[in-house]
Amino acid sequence: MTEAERRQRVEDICDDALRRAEEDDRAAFVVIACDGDEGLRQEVEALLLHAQRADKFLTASIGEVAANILADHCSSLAGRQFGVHQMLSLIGAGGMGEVYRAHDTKLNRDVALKVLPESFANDPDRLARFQREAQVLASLNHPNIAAIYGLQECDGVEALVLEFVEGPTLADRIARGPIPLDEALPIAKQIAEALEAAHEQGIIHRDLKPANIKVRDDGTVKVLDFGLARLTEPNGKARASECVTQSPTITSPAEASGIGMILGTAAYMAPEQAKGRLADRRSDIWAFGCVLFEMLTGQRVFTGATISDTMASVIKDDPPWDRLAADTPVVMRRLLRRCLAKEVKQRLQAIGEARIAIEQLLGGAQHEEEASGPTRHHLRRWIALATLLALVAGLNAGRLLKLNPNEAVVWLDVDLGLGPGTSLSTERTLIISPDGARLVYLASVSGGPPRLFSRRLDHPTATELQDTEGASWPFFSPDGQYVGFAARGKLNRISVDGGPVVRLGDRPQFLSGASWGEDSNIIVADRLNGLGRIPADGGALAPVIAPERGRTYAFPEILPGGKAVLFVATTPDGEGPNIEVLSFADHHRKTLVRGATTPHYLPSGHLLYGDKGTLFAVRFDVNRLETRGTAVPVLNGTPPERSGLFGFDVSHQGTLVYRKTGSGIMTVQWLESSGANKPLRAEPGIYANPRLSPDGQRLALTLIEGLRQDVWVYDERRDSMTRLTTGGFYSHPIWSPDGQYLVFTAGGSGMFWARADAAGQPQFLTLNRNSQVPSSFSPDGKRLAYTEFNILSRTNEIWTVPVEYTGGQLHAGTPEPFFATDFNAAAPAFSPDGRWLAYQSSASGRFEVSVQAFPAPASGQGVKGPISSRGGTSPVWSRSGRELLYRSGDRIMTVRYTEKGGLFVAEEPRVWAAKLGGLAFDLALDGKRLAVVTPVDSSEADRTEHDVVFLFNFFDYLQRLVPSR
Amino acid sequence: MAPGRRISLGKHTNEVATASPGTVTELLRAWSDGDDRALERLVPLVEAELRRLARGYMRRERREHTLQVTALVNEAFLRLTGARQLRWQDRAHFLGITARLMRRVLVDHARARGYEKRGGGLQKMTLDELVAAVAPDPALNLLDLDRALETLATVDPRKSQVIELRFFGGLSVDETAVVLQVSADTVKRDWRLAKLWLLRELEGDPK
Repeated sequence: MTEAERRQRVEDICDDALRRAEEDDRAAFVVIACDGDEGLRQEVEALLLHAQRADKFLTASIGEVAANILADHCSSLAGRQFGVHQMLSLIGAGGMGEVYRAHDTKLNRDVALKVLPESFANDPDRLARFQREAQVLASLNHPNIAAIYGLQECDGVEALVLEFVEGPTLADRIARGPIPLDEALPIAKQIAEALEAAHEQGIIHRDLKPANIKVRDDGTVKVLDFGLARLTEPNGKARASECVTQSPTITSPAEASGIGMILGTAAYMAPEQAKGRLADRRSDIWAFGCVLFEMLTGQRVFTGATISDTMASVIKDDPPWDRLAADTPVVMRRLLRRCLAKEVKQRLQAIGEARIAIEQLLGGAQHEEEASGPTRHHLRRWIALATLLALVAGLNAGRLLKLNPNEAVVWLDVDLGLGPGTSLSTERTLIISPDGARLVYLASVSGGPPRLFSRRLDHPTATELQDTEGASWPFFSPDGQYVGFAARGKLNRISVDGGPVVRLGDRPQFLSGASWGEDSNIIVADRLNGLGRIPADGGALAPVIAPERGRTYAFPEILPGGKAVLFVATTPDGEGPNIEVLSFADHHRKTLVRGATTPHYLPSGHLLYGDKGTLFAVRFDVNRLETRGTAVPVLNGTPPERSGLFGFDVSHQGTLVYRKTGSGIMTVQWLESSGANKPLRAEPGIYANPRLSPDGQRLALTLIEGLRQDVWVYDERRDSMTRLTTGGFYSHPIWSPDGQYLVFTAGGSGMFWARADAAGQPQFLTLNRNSQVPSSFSPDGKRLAYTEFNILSRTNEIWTVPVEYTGGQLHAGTPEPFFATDFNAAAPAFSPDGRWLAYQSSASGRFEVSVQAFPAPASGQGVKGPISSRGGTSPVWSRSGRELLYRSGDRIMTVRYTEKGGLFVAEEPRVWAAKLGGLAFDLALDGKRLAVVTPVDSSEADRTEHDVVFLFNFFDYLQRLVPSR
Repeated sequence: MAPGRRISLGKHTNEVATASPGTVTELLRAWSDGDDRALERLVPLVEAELRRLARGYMRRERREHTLQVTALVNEAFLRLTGARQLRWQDRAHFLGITARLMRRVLVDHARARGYEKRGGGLQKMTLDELVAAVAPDPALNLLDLDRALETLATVDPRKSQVIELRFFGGLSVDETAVVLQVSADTVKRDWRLAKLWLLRELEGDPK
């Protein structure tokens, strides 16, 4: 048998054997097939031994594997030629890439090659910037700085060419234990000198740590990787978390993977870096302090189990000074304290100072001084933390998962835990005390008037503040002990723990915000009447900003120190709302932010405000009353805006709180009594005062945009909106019976009218400083009923005025009071035959609907009412039948009526619609459906209306977004 | 500036990566005509191009097909020659070239990165992981496989080619049969037996 024949025989037997599945079977087959040829059998069995493994051998999809290998150029370049460099070995890896020791074959020297991540090679802009900055860094020339030689490209791989420095890193040295002072000082001096040289050229290291400081055997110190941290940032800026995870610096192989490396960077990050601000030379000084401390103690100053723990420790913890040896010289202690001052401005300002101190120590010049005791800072922080924990413990928290006091910002959704039947009011209802420990909010019980509730956050329940029915616009005293509020035509205050309500003075007629200053004065805004001041102990209202026709004012906030006040105003030519500031001393007033509302000054040095559904923050210099830099959106979409008011509040220690409500955005819906609804005007907006035209084809309404409100007419058939007014202070339109024109409220200027087709300008009908809200025309169109707010009696009154439409002009005659009453009558509505007037009044303590003959009989008789029984407002007559509808809570009620002998006879009210689900409404011509202004997310709002969102550590969050220092 | 320090911020580019399209066509032709030195010059060019393609491929997050070596190499040739379509003597010829090239590229890649030296610590990474995936012995490496194939070629050239075509070229049994002009059964049998032979060669006899 030839060699070839023998091999053929081996293969044949192998192949036959392989087809036999069972191994026993196979072994027997081989024995038989080899027929006693022992050599043959051994050869066959040697091959078959691998049969089991052979199944999977060489079955990988080579395409995928090859792509993987070929694409993975960075994984190992060792042994390759890279341009003029022969790669020798991998010496480390950092977030930026791997570092190789390589030999420069031209210059015959060893270098370190730092291979850049692929993201660089693929981004020309980034690469260009990298090259420019590398050039700057390459100009650094100092014996204690490892040089950057340049950039090298090879096969699409980019690498930085760096000076190769032999020897252990300082981290390796520290791992062996603390470094005695006399050894540490020369090292520290050289590090300081390296930093000094770099800082003189405007170059910041940004990532100084023991792992990138080398100590050669001869004692020479080389600081590695100057400025590389900045080079790796995608656009010259980076968030703290990115800085940490993308640390570019070499780390020893032992630390090269995973968490060790990342922590190694976070631990040396200055507080301002940890908060996301850009590093400057003082950040290097901080890191220098950390390194120095670590050399002397053998342990890191700041540690934590996670990055955020470590960063939180950097921001909050005092260095463990007690770890310093007892004989540590005071000069050294003081140097460390100055390097490790959290506040940048309190920190050592120049590294040269550190060098001088070290030289002093090296020269033995030590001035023994008393070391300072524990700082108050520490105590303060502890209290703040305890407060937060107390808050959290006390809250009826809905979601606690996200809570970690070490995190920069903590979001918390909380159910206020109101009792059944209790609901939060819709206006600015929720405020937080300056110390962040208490909430005060407005809520109503069983549809009654809103009252104030006070809730200490470490207590499980809220307390109702007695005697605060009808409250609005709550605001805290600066010490958080009192709440000011408006109620019953007065401005009042009450202790947050309850007690008597103290009347301070008259409530401004169009109150639009109040702020309690440290000087015991309260600044109040009146939408139409400017700003005024009222003493916090009570007294007369003194004007601060006089009213000016066409201007509106809102949301005052006194700045710290009480020297100036922020507020919101619109201008007569329809501009705004703008945030303005008024300085009390010189009465100087200026605009800070245009098109913005609801300003809050934060002790973090920011101005927080709302603009078009978004909260913005901008740096604010409270001394110069100037904003600085660019505003940045901070919380998009939340908190919700309602009529230009962003319903949020911020405590002085950085808790932002807002109510989780609907967006405040509405549509207009048709609602049938069955509950079925369909859109009338689906376009979302903030609408009010819907009024259907007499022909039922058009809808007049008020559209609110920010602080501005104007009257529009919507044509359902054409789906078109026609603007009737542009002044920004018009509302409450009503139609003339012929549908030719509308009458509406003009701020504090009386009533205006305009043609329904928007031809011509709105013109005045009445001129009056009192608020006059038109309500109903008599069927013949000759008389107009309206509600007027009487400044003297501080109540609403019903008036009527004869009107005449001649020559294309509407003229008003002499107004007459309809119903001299002192109990707040409003919303008059003429019956279809014009013989009755329905209205709401609060004679009984809450609004009920009554009906009276018109004109009122001289006898004073003819009053029928109230016809409602459990509260009634907004009466509207059916034009198709003898029914009167009104609103009771969220229900629409209806009352059938007849007339007998000049008397109005009403039946018992029945429910017309069990759930209005909306805010304002009008009845259609056919009496079968309502046009309802409906919040877009009313169902959502129902579910979440007790939810309050807390953002703890909001200032830290802001600092990262908008660094203020 | 300190003497001896050079700031070299300009880019140094490997000269082989800039060969003209004409050169590549020429080399392909020369190699097809049996000039093995042409292959030596072709491999680094193709490798550089394959790396670029592979990087692009790996970056794409969702891939609709698994990557075929033939497609990869074809794309590399198209890019290198600037041609819209490559004219081969026949498809079998192209497939053969593909497998040979891929084998050479991967082996050179491994060799260049110092995989010869065992125990290189951090240097031993992806390629060994590959071999661990395809071979029972994780210590096995691509260079050993290449050498074993060389040995096999001296004993049984067709079996060596079957391995090259099927493993490095990613060809199917039928494609391999077409290239080698044998039956599919023969390819299957060669494949089974060659793997046994290689494993014995690589792992040695247990005795």
